[in-house]
Amino acid sequence: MKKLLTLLTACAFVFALTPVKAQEPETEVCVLEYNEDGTIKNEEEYLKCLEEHSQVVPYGSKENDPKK
Amino acid sequence: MNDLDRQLYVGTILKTIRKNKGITLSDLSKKCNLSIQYISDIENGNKSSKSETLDMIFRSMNILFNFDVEVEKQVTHLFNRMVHAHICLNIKERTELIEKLTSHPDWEFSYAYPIIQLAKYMATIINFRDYTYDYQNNLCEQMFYIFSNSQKSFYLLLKGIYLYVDLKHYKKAKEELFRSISYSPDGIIAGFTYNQLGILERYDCNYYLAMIYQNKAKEILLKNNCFIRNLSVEISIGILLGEQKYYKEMKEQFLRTYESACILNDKETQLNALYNIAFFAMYCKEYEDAIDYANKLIKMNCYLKDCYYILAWVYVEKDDRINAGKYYRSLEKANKHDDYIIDCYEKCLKARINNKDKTYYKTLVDLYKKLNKKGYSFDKVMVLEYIIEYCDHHELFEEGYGYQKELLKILQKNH
Repeated sequence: MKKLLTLLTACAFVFALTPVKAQEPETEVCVLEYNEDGTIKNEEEYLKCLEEHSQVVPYGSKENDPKK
Repeated sequence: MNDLDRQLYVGTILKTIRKNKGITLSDLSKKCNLSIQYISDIENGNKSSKSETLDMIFRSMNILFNFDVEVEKQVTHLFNRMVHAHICLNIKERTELIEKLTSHPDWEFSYAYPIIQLAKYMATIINFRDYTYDYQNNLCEQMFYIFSNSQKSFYLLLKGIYLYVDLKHYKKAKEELFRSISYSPDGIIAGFTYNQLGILERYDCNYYLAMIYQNKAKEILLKNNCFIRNLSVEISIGILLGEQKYYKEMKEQFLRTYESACILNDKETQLNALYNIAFFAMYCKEYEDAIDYANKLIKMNCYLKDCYYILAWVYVEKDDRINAGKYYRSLEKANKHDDYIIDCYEKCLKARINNKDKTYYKTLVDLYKKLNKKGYSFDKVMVLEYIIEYCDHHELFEEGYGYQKELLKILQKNH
């Protein structure tokens, strides 16, 4: 019982000291892989992944920086 | 400034400093041996007080207050010059002035305290100095009512820009920009503010309103001889024309802007103008111009990634797989996958080069879903147009009809 209590206290202590991990920047979720000849390798997995996740920012026009 | 104004001014400064040092009225009254009511009256501008008494109160908070009224005049003059330099994009002068305003040891704790805090707020917004945004913003909010109208207008302009550029809070940003204009409707600051409002309206595809704001911005900036800042407005007008597919007008607009930028020696605007012609030529399917202008930029070694993308896309559209593949490979080489997110459009390109229609289509749909959550209207319009075109070619009538309805919804909302 005493050992269990010590273990729980140690776990709580370690947990309290562990820094909260900063939020990761948005990264690529669905990766399109290619064969050496440039053809697509993983089309099926990629399409399946797209069903579950969303992707990002398109190209666009360029405007001068409003903070400049 | 008359005596009553000065009374309110110094009271507000005292209150702001006390609160931000975390000192309560009760603590301060004990330290100075003055009643809480007396100090509260000074803070609210209801009681005048001799400089000796004020000095004693400030000293009890470890502050040596500079009572020289000339400091405030000098700082106000420099601040106004700095605002002018900022709006007119005179970066060198602005940098010198902001440096001076934020680092002079005898100026901060004086009657110029509110202006110095506003200068520090600006230094934070333009990433010139690393002050804490919330802290500086809080100080400005507390002293807002003793700012002059042009200072209020300038503060709200900066806040609006921060809200939409850093926080993506477009609605709140618009509100602050409108408030900014209400304090100084025809001043030089309003010229820049109208430009920002026009950009925000364009994000929602409110082209008519956006054009009105950009023209108003142009009128004010030219009246005040802010020619370089006006180039940003000219770029915004060109983008407005491009997004509405007024191809000829868009091209003329950017060519005029390019010439003006050459005369004014503004390199960034020159490049933006050329790039935007290439981009909108691609969008409007004027492929020869798109190729021509993208190549011009590549020769100048500018915007390589964006230009390779335009060229690859255009050659795919022209069914020239050899060139499309060539520019796609250049695009891959130009990308550093470890420090940026791969664009959906690049995946679309790759899919088309490989004749993977389904992947192309699904990636577009995925991009549209993502944009629906946080994108600009124009981006949605552009993606929807590609999706509808695909549905047309592949006789996906039901799906195509659904997307056409979505497109109509966006366009009808704003026109």
